[in-house]
Amino acid sequence: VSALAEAALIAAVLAPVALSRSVRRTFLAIDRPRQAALAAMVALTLAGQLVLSTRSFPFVDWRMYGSVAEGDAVAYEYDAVLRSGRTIALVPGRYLAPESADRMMEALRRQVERLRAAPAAPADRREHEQTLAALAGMHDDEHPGDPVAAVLVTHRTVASSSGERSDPGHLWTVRLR
Amino acid sequence: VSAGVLHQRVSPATLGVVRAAVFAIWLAVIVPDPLHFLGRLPDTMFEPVGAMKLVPREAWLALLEPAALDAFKGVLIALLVLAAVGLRPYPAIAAAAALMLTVHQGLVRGFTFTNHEELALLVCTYVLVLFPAADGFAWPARRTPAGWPGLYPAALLAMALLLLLPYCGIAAHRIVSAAPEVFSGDSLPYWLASLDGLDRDGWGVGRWVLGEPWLVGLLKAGFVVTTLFELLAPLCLILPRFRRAWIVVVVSFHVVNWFTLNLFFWQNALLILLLVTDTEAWVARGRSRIEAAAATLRPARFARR
Repeated sequence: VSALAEAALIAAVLAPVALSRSVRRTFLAIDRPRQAALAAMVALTLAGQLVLSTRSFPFVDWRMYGSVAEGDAVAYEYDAVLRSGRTIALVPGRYLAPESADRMMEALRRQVERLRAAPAAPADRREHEQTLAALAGMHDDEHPGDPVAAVLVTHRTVASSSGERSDPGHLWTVRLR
Repeated sequence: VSAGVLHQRVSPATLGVVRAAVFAIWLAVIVPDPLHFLGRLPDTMFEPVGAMKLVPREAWLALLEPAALDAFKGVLIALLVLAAVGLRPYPAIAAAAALMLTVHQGLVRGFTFTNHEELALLVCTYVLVLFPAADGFAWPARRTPAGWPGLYPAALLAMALLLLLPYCGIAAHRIVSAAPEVFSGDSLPYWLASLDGLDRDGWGVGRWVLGEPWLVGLLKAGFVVTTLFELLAPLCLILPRFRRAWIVVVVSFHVVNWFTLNLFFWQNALLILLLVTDTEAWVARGRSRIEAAAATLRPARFARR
């Protein structure tokens, strides 16, 4: 029902565009193969939104900020303890482009939440440790003289009402060498 | 309505400028990102997305070696440069670049999750493959455009439509699934709090805003307005006044998201300025300014001789 309502809303907005004589003339004037290719891309964009999923790349659903959220947020932080004893923030954005860094943070968050739900899962634990080791390796490439010895994983609560953060709570330490 | 419809007049040079800009944006996305990092991640993280599922997993694992990924990135960058320049044979170069971009973007998402940041750019690239986008503003210059004149407006109109359509979908989903609670309740404060942790080197503005209730109220009002503009996005194609307001609202929305949520769809913001404006007019203005500047420089150079 909700997909139908979404489709109806999108169709209502698209109707005046589709009825525009100039728009139709522009697209009808081009050759059939290009018309078919463009029509397929529009159809896949709409199908991605209405009936496919986030994994139907590159035509996926776009549902950002589309569900109700409430309560305080939990943030996970990763700190690298270097061989020298110094501790630094292990931030993907320092080694990866912003888009990849955002994706990496989300992947790490999902790993941590899986492990918090099922701490005894050895495969998940190994995957999480290898992911943090890969990130630590990016630091080591830039600072071979002071590599990462361990990664501390902590969590904080961020109050939605005030923005205040709790002190970090230690979850676990991943020793690398 | 006909007079206000976007991209009714597009020259080969204008489509060429858009082609160069789109492939240049891709270079800005691809070059700084160390693709070999994926080769260090555990294989278990990789779950192919979309049509990539049809390729045997062993083939992907062979590519997911740091050296292979570096080679892949090197070839992709070379193709992007050639496509941006508009070198011959453009259709083959652009198709190869688009295919490799699809694999690249699928790989980075296969290890993490399917976010949306570069997807509109990718779909616009597919359109550039379909059309003679190197008939103008290309090196070496073409003597005569190969394409029929009606192809150039259709290419830009299609790119604009495919850029605008997802905005409409996002808003339709939000309104149907979560309105009015998503606007009136604590969803926005929750996102400001949760996305603050996305980047510890980020702006930190989101958390600061939470301490200022009047700003939270303002952002909530802005969220409603932005959603309405997102819903009506396709109307930009036919309504020039609405189009101008839409650009201001939605580009501002992307910039505000950058500061408050640490998420910046800069590729979309650039595509909006590139495709949801009178591209032909500003390209023509730019060309005449460059030609005027060149004309004033020429006598000075001869005078020095």
